[in-house]
Amino acid sequence: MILQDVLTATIFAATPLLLAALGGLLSERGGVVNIALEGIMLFGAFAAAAVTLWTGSPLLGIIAGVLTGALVGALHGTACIYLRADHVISGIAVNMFAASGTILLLKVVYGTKGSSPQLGSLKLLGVPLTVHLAVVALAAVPLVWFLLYRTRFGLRLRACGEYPEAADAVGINVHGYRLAGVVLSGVLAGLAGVFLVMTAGSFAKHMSAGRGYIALAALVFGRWRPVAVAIGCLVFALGRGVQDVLELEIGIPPQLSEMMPYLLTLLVLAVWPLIRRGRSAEPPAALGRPFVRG
Amino acid sequence: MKRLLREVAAPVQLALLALGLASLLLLLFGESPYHVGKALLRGAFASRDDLARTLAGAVPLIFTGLAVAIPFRAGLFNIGAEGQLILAGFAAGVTATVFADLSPIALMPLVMLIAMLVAMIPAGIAGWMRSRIGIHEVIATILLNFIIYSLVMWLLRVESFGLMAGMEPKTAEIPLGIRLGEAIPGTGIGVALVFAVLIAVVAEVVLFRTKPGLMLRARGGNPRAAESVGVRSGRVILGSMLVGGALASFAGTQQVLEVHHSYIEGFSPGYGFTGIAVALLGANRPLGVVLAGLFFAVLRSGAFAMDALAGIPREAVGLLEVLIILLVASELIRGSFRKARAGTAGGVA
Repeated sequence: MILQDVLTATIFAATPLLLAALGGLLSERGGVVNIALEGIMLFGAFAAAAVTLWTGSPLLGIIAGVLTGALVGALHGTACIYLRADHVISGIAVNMFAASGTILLLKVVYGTKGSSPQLGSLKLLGVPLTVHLAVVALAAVPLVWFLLYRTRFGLRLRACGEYPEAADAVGINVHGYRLAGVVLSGVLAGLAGVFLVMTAGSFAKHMSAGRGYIALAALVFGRWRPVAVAIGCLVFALGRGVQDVLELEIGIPPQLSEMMPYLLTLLVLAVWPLIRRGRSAEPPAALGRPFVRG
Repeated sequence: MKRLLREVAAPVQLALLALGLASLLLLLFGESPYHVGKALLRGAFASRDDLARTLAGAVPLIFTGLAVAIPFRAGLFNIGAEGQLILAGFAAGVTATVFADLSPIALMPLVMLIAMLVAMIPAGIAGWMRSRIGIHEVIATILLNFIIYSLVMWLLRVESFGLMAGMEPKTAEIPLGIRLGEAIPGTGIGVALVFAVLIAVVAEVVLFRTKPGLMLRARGGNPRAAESVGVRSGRVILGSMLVGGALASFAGTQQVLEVHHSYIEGFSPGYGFTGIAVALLGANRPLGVVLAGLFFAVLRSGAFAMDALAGIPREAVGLLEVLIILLVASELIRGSFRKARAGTAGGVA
């Protein structure tokens, strides 16, 4: 029984990580560091909650969450690509923007401090929307792999992340492809935020709770390859799966078990390279480097 | 002199630009920037108590600003200042009550030292992971922040450390003898503020006038060039992160010794993250950080009055911090800021 509980909890915990990490993959294989995943999730979550509450339609809420994610992704992309902002600083600014911005919106729109009103029924065809989204997240793994390695778009995107000068020399619009990568990552991270809202039934401040950063850890763990990144997400999600069991079955205090996902991620990151020595992380060669057409 | 003027000019321009953009936004929402600004300034300066609160509020921002700026000079992002200062504050609160019988002259340094050492642990872990395994310090420090939040929340609920009096759990009150007061009576200038400025001066001298400072800046400017002239990158990374942790610890200790007189859960409204904006606006120069810390302290201190008198939610001040970070980060807007940017492009996650 316990095993089944852990497994279910792990899959649901892995869903937002998978979506965000695959998004981060598309951004970073194109050369744009995406620390902003955390903030994109938060904005996507708020938009999904607000539009669902406003229209009464969770489907419109999902669309709003995805579009908001794409918009925030485009903002981060524009800052990094066209304004040549430092990618890490811009990402952190987006995250701080999302943290204070969503709290401000909660106050202005709903007059509350901590969370939005409850969203009501979140089902489609009699099945909870979270299940649909979990399926989408799992299906996204092969889809992103196919996009990156079997399409012209993927090849060109990777070229922009590895050697933008060469890509430019053969006529590829480096800035355009990079922006497309970041916007796609916004779509996926926004969907991750939607999932969080659909799981909780309302929007709560800081509800992304570091998942964007754990997704980045999965990128490093999986060395920027889709399948390995997905495995990383499942491993890190195990921390949350175990968390509930520790709390409910063994009686570990909740303050302590809440630490599990972060502790597990940190330990895996620290120990994994020692196990597979000599094969250190290989980020895309031009990651974080602005491209100036010369 | 001319160089100094030029260095000061860029951050001032940026702060003015940010304030201008914020005023435009206010106009867009049909609010008068004049009234909002007046309410904010009144909240920060109207009475002697207000002034004292504003000045005391600058102390944690100066320390977290330094905790971000020093590693930044070495090309590292210490996003873990928040966790480091929370851990330090808790350690300070516990140490002060456990050893309450010691004379204040012995207790004060002991509290500061233990808080500092404890805060250096997570900073050191992040530095070690970056230099040995190549894990980007942004990921490591953020994960450590979350671990620290939970750890301290749990420890505070263990009977021998915390009390469950009222809404927020906290440690017992610290002895009267080590509570910090005003340095010059009647001015609102606290002992802690004087200490913060002194630390900033020391940091400025070490950074620009000593060999370790040169090595740190060399690694930040161009890691490969620095290594080729004998700078050991790993040591600089670990060292600058440890210094960052120590600087962040002073923010937590000050909150316990000067403001709350015990460790209270949730005492930090994100000082560690505001520290990023402080460091960037201060051009990552220790003395610039002092001025930027005072600037943000005025905004934060006046935010309550702005909320009450002008009806602008005080959380809006947080957006101004973000605006300043984005303006500083954008190379095309920044122009003359280029020098301050450390080499952060290599090996980013």
